[in-house]
Amino acid sequence: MTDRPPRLVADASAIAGFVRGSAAVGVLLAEVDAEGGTVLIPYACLVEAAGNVAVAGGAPYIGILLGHPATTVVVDQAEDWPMMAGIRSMLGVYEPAAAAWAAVTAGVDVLTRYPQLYAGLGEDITYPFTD
Amino acid sequence: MTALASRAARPYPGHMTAPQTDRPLAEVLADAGRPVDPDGMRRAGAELAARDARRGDRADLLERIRAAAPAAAA
Repeated sequence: MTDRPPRLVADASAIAGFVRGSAAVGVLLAEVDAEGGTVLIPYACLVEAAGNVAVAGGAPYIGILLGHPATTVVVDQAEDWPMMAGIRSMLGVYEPAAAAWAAVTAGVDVLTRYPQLYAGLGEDITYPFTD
Repeated sequence: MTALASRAARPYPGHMTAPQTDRPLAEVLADAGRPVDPDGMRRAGAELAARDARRGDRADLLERIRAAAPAAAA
């Protein structure tokens, strides 16, 4: 557990962006850290991103990301399965659904390179980055 | 209160992986060869605050999610 308040959720594209050196993601995470907050990393997003970037030499940066209190890994709660299934049906894919549910329950936005993945929600909950 | 109705009201269960440092992330990134722009951090802070100020309670979104959830669980 962490006492730091959640300020953002990082989806798989944001995690991959951090690993690949996105200045926008690095700046945001550094600012959240400076404010004493934390960025939530849903387990599904971590696995999706790490499975792609680890083979490209990104493992050390995943270590930096997860080894710092500026991030908090969050796991699904079993009793949330109906709501998770609801979001999954709205978005069509599980990984962004996990990010969206974390953002909705924490009252923050999803940092993502692909805001269109969340269009099925009918409400913008994204914080897009492009670099 | 059902699990569906109560979920958003509970504290968020987070799990920190073992912290390797208590140094500011900006310093860690600088040491890793990725210095962050202080002006960029200030702009990011202002954007985060602006988003907090205009974000609604997402009650409508929660209702849409609830409506899309499997009927047996509602």
